[in-house]
Amino acid sequence: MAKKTQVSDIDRGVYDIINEERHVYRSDKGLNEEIIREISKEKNEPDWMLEKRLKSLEIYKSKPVPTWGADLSDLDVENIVHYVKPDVEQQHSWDEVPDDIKETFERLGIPEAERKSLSGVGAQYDSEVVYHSIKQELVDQGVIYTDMESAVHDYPEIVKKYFMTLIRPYDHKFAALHGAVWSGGSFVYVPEGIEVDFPLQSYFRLNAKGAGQFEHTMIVVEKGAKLHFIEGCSAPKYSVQNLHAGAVELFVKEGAELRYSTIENWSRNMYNLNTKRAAVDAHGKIEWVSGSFGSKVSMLYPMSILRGEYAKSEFTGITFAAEGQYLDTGTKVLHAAPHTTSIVNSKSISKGGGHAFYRGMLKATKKAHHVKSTVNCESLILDNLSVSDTLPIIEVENSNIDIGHEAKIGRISEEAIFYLMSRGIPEAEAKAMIVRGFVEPITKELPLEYAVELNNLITLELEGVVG
Amino acid sequence: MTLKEAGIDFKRIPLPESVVQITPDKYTPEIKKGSKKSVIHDVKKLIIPSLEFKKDLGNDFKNFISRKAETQLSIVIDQKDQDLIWLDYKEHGDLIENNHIYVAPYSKGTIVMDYNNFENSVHHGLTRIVVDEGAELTLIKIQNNHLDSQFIDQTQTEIHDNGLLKVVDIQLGSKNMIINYDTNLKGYKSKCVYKSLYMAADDRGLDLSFTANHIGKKTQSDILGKGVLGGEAKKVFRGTLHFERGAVQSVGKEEEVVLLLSETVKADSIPALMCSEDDVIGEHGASIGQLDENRLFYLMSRGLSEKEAKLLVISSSFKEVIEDIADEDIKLKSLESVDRSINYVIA
Repeated sequence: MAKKTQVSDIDRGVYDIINEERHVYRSDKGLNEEIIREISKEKNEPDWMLEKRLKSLEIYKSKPVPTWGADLSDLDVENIVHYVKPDVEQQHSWDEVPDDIKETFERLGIPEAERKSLSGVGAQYDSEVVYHSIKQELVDQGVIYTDMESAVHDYPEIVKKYFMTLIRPYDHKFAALHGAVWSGGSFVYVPEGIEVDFPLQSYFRLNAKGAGQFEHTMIVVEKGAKLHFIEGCSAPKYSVQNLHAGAVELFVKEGAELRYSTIENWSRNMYNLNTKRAAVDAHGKIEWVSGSFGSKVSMLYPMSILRGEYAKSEFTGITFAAEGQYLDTGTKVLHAAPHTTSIVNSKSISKGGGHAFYRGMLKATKKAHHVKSTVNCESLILDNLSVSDTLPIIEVENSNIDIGHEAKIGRISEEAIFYLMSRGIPEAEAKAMIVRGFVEPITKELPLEYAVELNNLITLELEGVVG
Repeated sequence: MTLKEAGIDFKRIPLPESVVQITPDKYTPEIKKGSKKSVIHDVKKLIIPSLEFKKDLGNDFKNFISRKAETQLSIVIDQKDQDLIWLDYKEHGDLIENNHIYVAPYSKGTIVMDYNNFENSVHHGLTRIVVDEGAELTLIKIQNNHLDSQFIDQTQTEIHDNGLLKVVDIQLGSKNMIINYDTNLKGYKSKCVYKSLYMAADDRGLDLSFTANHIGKKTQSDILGKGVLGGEAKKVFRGTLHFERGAVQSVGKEEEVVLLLSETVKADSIPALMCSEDDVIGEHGASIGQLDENRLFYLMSRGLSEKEAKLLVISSSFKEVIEDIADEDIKLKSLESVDRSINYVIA
């Protein structure tokens, strides 16, 4: 009988800490026009935003729940409180943040990042941004980094131009829901030619029972500018089902570069139905680094729209599905212009009855000649309770292209273990090395403290037992 | 009843609106080679696959076939030596066939279904195969029908312990075609090998689906697709490997190579790996539009144009598959058909 590798669950530790709920405002359960108006009024929004919200609500009501992919039949959208606002006002310095909130963030490692003067930290607590700081030098350069609500008020012309243009409410039910109830999120605007040389970070989490989080992230990187943005999510465990339907819209202009890293580590009762899209103009580049760990159900397919000549996209993703999890992740790349290139590297691990599903789409339109693309999917399946599926769809409407696709699924090779053992490495350590080597391409893409966190998340406790 | 209502909904391929009006010919293909004894028309003693198939065209399709089929073959191979049956389908109108093939334990055989109908026709076929313990079946389907024809064909196979199925599927003719192969690797060490060759130009459409479902222990599958598309041809190639729980130490491989010759083709590839067992190896690869540049450069340096060089490379890779066919006559015929088709695609 072949030996089985034991990989322990992610040690959730601080992520399952629940703080006492204190709210100044909590909307009624369910969703109707009144609620939307209330949300908008509470935020003191301009009319054009309210109109967008109401239009989205209309679309939301007319759209069916998607039936493909994950089973969403347990999800009762009507009973989810869409909007929860903690009773803390915007803070300007770390000291002013209430202690219990601070403590959680501290345990999540944010002050450390601050101490290392990595960048401004915008952490979203429940639905509102509670803490924000941005280095003076960025402000001087004209970089705008704020929360979405403030952006709506302070930079209406930018928000109006881009808001929900990449992810339209018509796209699917949860995009429409997002459009109607969105709350919080980050807004970054990098002016032409500015290179931000340290990563901007935002860390947010959900903390109220039954609260959905619908944060909207919008990043505009103007001509020739550069930015690295990091977003991390975690939420404590609750018995009430939680829904996350955020939206991320990234605009990479001519010759600009954006690296968007995210670690999504939701609690095990979360429905993570996030939509992320990037539009890349000529000679621009988008890099996605995406880690999906927690949540009960995830459906997450970051999309790159390469609409300018010589635009590039790179996607590096890892998914870890453990017991009771269905993680349906992947990426979409649309080559809509000539000479565009894309690279997709996806890894997944499933264990203990977890279900990892890679669902990818690569499309080259008629106009997109001289396209180059490689897609690599590797799946590691650690026991025979788990399921791992790979479905990469390739659609090509052009002859002058070069597309390669490879996928591999399997367990840890006995030969590799044997080889390492013949070199004097104990079996458990050999297996650990192989699994670490498997995720290494992802961890090395992350900044140091996130890589450390990722390693903590995948606490690999390996021992050979007869299975 | 439209095909959609009949449970067939292949969005990308335009299909005849109504299948109800089809009045199939009472037709039996000519046995060009092989013993007539093997082809029995008594369909009462059928050995049919016992398990459900993953990619079934649906009960409606099955009912439609069994109700309307006017061509029913029941082929039994029970020879210890290589047995060859060559069925020649030509000069017929619309055809609906419902066939059964049974390969008895430890028997070996080759069945060639050679479709080369010159008339414009519609073909609906379902072939159910059981390969028993230790048996081997080589199934060669060559489709080179009239270029306005419709060709819809499903082959379902169940393989028992140590059984082997080899399929060579060559699609050259017809305007629109749906080809669906599904194999349940039920037995210990059962194995299936699919080799699919296709060529299409003009506005023709192909929907090719090859599925291997690993159920038994140490089962093996290999899917290879090779094709050339020109004109405004559309194709979708679905290669699916399923690994059921308990299919330990199974190995599945899938590979697809497509060469696109014009700017107006549409080529979709949907390779899928569905895995519920850890102790397996599944691999798939697809490459679209790329050929070994060194090889092309070499040929072009010898005076060939880029197109000629590409075609030479692809035809030699087609021939690689055809060369494996043991019977000389069939090999010759296939090579001829492929050559003719290549010339057509260039023109």
